[in-house]
Amino acid sequence: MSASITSKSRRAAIESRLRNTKPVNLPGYQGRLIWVWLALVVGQFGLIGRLFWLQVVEAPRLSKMAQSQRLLKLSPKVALHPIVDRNGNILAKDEPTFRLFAHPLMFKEDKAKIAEAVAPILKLSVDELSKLFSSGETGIPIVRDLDQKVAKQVRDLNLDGLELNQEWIRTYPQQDLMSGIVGYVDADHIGQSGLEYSFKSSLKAKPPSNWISEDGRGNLLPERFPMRPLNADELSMKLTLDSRLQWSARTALYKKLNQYKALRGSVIVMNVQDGSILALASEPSFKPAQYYKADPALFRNWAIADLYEPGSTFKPINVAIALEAGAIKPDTVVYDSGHISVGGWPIQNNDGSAHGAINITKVLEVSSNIGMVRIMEQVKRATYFEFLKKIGIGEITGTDLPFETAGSMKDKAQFIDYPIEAATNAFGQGFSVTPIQMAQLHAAIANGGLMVTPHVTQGLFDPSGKLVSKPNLIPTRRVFSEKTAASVRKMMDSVVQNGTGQPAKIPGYRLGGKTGTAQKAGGGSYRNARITSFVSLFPSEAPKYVVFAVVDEPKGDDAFGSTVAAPIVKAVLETLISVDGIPPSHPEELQKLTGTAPPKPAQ
Amino acid sequence: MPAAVQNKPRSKPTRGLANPSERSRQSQSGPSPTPLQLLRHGDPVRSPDKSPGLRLLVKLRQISTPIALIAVLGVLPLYAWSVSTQRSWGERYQNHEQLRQDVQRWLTETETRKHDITEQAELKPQGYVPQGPANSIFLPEMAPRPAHPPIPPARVQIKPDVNAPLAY
Repeated sequence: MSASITSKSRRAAIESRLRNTKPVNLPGYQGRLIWVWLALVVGQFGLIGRLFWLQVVEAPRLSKMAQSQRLLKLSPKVALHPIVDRNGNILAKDEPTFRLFAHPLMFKEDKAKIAEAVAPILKLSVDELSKLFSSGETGIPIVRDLDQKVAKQVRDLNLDGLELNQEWIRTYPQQDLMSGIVGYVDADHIGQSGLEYSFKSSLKAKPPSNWISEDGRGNLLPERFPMRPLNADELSMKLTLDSRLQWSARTALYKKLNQYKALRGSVIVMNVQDGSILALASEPSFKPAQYYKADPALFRNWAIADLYEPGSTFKPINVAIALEAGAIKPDTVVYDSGHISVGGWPIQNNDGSAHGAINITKVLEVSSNIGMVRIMEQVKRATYFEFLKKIGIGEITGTDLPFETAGSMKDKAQFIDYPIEAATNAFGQGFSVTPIQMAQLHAAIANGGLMVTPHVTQGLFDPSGKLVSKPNLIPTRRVFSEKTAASVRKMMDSVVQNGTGQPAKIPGYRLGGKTGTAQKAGGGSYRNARITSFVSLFPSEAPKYVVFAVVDEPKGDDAFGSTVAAPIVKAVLETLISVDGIPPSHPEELQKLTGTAPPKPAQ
Repeated sequence: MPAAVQNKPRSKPTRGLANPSERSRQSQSGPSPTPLQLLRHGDPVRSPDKSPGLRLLVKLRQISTPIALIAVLGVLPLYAWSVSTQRSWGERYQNHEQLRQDVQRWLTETETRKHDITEQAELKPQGYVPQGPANSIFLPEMAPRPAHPPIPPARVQIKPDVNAPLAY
């Protein structure tokens, strides 16, 4: 009971105390409250202001900064597209290289220590490297053309103040085999000759345009990665050339150039149906990786850039003109007296002999100059001139190779007024063409009268082998009738079977051909120096190829088209037979040669 | 705590008079306000009235809190997985790029070696001879197969089985 009373009284005391307790406002209480409120409000406005500054005013700069930290563009795979032959063999290709710069200003370690670490990787002496480091404060070029392995070793050292810049080096695995066609790029990676020059804009690869994100370690992240295949832009320029045939042409040419101590030479193998060139060897040549050591004259392929008087290899073209003009028929007979005078100028056959009354085929077989003059005398000079113009004499062929030179011929008035002009033109002198134009003209005979444009590029292809772009070529046009072309082909077959072209004969096969040995003009007159050539249409039954060889200034009394150029063409044709698997049209001849029976047709 | 500390019987609540001027008017004209009574021991304590909106909010809070916890716990491994996948993708991509570079380098090296071998063979033939028609075997094209006359379909005469019952 007493406990209950005590408890009650205590409670009453507490209640009484509470009742009397009133909140007491301490002095300055409200003022402090306002200050705190103000501080909070000001702070809040400050935060809003800062947010506005970052999100609106500074947004572009900050977003750019963030992008540069997180995003990057993929490094380009190549600067220039590779060039490959018709079988995909690489002729020119970019390889990544690195250039090392030093910025001693940013070194965090002693120069000597850095030199000691880097010198063995770069295969330089420590002293040499230390000297370089002491030569400036920043941007000191140390070494260039470092390959990827060496660059990685340098990068793995993680040294501040060393900078590796990626560059490209153009490699030419075939060295000087195709340098006359492919050309070279200079130290700035810009094409200076050949296809590298003429297709420099097409060969330029587009740098990747996509921004890719990366993590802090530098690993790429998939979130922004392009959906299309990464190698979709990796194009390659495919040529019509065949490396194996080019080897054969160059080797055969090189042997003859050495044998006859000739100045230079060229071999062209052309598909007569479309003008695609399978081989174009010109000697001497240069190594594109060491272009700076070569004679600059070699950068222009003389088969395209230099003119020469074609000589007797032009006679079949003249015969075709005369046939097309209706001035002669295939069985027309002309009289070869051995030597004649035209407009007061003496003209004679190469050997000075007279062949008497001979038909057109015989004129070509014996390569009679007088016979040709007699044939072309039957064509009106104006018609003859117009025809020469029609077949492109004095013009360029329109090939895709650079630095092509247009041929030259006399003007119309001179050609018509002076009979000697037409007479000398009759046996291939008095005007000039490029070797590639001669191949083009004979292709027109071989393919039935169509003038095709010689070219070496098929176009740019994507990795799946799809053609992306191809060069614009002059469209094919007819210059001779099929009948005329067939008649001339028959005559050219006879030249190889019975005439001056016999050294080019290949057992088991039939081919048409014509030799040429022309005096070189110089200083307003003809010199003793010669240009020998041989052209072949192969195979005779349905010509697919023209093979043309020309050798400039072979030395020796036996240096003729039949002895110098015809064997080159024969060697190239033998390779062409193997490369293309062309079966013999007369297998019994091969049987006699090898002593084996030809295989019977499979059943 | 005027709402919680109440006298019994409870006086009329003055909650509705929010306006001070109204309160002052009431104090001037009406009876003086009931003084606050202290809660006595054993007095029943009534919880304040809750509006339906408040109750809904409380309920939502009770539901959303565990959901938020579960979501956070669930997202963490998902996030970790996504980060790890991306990193592993990046590493594989670098590998792939390295392999591509190797392939390109080997292609160039192969071409260079092919050239060197051919050049060597030209300089020192060592018994090799260039391929030509004289040392090639030409297999003639297979003669076209004779067109077979169409095989007449086998004539099978279907005769009714005389022994078969015609009907049951």
